Amino acid sequence: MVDGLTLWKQLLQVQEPWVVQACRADEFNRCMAVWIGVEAPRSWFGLGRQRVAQGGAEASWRHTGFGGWRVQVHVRVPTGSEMPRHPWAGEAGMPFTRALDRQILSLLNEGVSMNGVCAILDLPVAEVWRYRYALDHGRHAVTSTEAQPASVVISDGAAPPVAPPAAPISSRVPDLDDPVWQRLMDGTLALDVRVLGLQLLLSRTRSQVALIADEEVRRMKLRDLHRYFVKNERMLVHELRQLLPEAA
Amino acid sequence: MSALENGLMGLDDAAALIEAGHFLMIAGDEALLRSLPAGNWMGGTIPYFMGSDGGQVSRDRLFVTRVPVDAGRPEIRSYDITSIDHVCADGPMNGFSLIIIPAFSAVHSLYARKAPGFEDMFIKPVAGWVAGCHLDDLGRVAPLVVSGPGLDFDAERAVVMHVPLPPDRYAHVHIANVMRQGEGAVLRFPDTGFSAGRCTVDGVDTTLAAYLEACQADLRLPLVADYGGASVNVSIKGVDRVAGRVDFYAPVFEDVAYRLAAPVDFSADPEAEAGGEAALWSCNCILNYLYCGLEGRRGAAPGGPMTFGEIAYLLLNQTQVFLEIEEL
Repeated sequence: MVDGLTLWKQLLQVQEPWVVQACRADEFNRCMAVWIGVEAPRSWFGLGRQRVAQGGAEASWRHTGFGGWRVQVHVRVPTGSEMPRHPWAGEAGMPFTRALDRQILSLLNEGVSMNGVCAILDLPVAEVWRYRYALDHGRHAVTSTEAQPASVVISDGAAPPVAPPAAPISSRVPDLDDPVWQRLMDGTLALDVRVLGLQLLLSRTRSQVALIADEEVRRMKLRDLHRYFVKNERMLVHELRQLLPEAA
Repeated sequence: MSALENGLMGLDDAAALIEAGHFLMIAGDEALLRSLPAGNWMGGTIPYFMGSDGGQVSRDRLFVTRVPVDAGRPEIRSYDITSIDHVCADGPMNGFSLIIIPAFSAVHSLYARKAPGFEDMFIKPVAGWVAGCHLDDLGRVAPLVVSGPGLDFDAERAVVMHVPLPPDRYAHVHIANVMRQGEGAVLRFPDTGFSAGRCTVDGVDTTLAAYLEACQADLRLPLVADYGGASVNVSIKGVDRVAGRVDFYAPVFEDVAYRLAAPVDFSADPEAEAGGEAALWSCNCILNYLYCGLEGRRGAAPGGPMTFGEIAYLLLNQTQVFLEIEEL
């Protein structure tokens, strides 16, 4: 049996050092409040160290709903720490978490009216107006890469996949759709790799892909690999010399 | 770059470089670092170095590396356990990030265990080291890092310098590691962590402590993982035979296969790494300093601090790390 804290940790994809500290259900209003904070660090090597300050202000945001329940996330940020950039948190002064932010923005971009957004996502009109006002006045921006963990799939279907970087016009790196990437990723195409970053990335990707059945996650790993080649093409002369003859 | 701008030097020379406005990474004893003026530098505590005249422990010299400023002003900032996962994502699109982490801190532990999953890890170059202390002070003195602009000394946060490069240059991080996987059993661990009890040895469930005892392992030899041709070490800190537990200086990962390193001659002279002479910066491991008896002996160029951990993307042990700036 999974307890409530563990369940919310999984649903919100909360990762160390953050932990779900409490959750409380308001059944009358079908609203779940979740509190997230930083776990005290474990001691290491038996050497006593001071604990990370647990004080600090609490911020609160409305999050994407689950099963018809509203979700309000409260985050206590240790004094001196930045506001977290994860999907379950928002920006200071804004009403919504980044995950909900992206849902609202994608609906607005599809031409859904403000009232429509409120109805679809069960949001108060005043809060959406506040959000829209901040957007219109340049006080808030939603970026496609922020708070999107590289190894996580958004389960609520709200976030569009991050587009792969376009290769420079003169790039020799094969297109993302070239089957050579799949072969490289699953290890059926072996390269003599001399660049440390690629050795580490390729090794990690292959060990992960061997355990991943989900096609979308595999596709995301493939995009990461392609992105590495696009960004680091200049230092991959030896590797591209082997890869290009194998490309379609 | 002259030796005066990249190497061991006294306090006055380092202070002069700071006051000239250069961006610097500085390694040295805490008292010396506290005597430096505010400026465009980041630092970490360590009194062990490999200089042009050999390995040495010094409380009155600093190892200074001048960072190129050719494509905009580098950014110096600190990261704690809540933000360290963005260290690569925050790096420049073309450039590199230098990092110093205080040893034994929570951010040290978190980086070591979680870095492979950080956003943009491996995509953008990150290199650096783990600040330490004199071994006589172990357990009494906290390793520190310093953010030079505010002279902020910190035992719990990492300090990072994000350095942009012009389009005709790129950063290249590489390593020199004399350790290779031996011919022994394949070791796998059920959990990621800095200590291990149970493990599988060629698929048979046992404890690592029992395996090391059975093969009378030289505990100076690390466990070695093969990451696609790159040998990555996990050094052994100690074995608690009663508890059946082995402690490490870096974590073992649950999804990685290890073997004990093949025997090496610790008294052999260090071999020069190809390209090492041209490196902007390098660091090596305090364990190599101790096990290889490097005090007073020349090591591979270009020298640098002998640290409590080396960072070439991941936290490494018993490895020399190089950062080179290549031109097209």
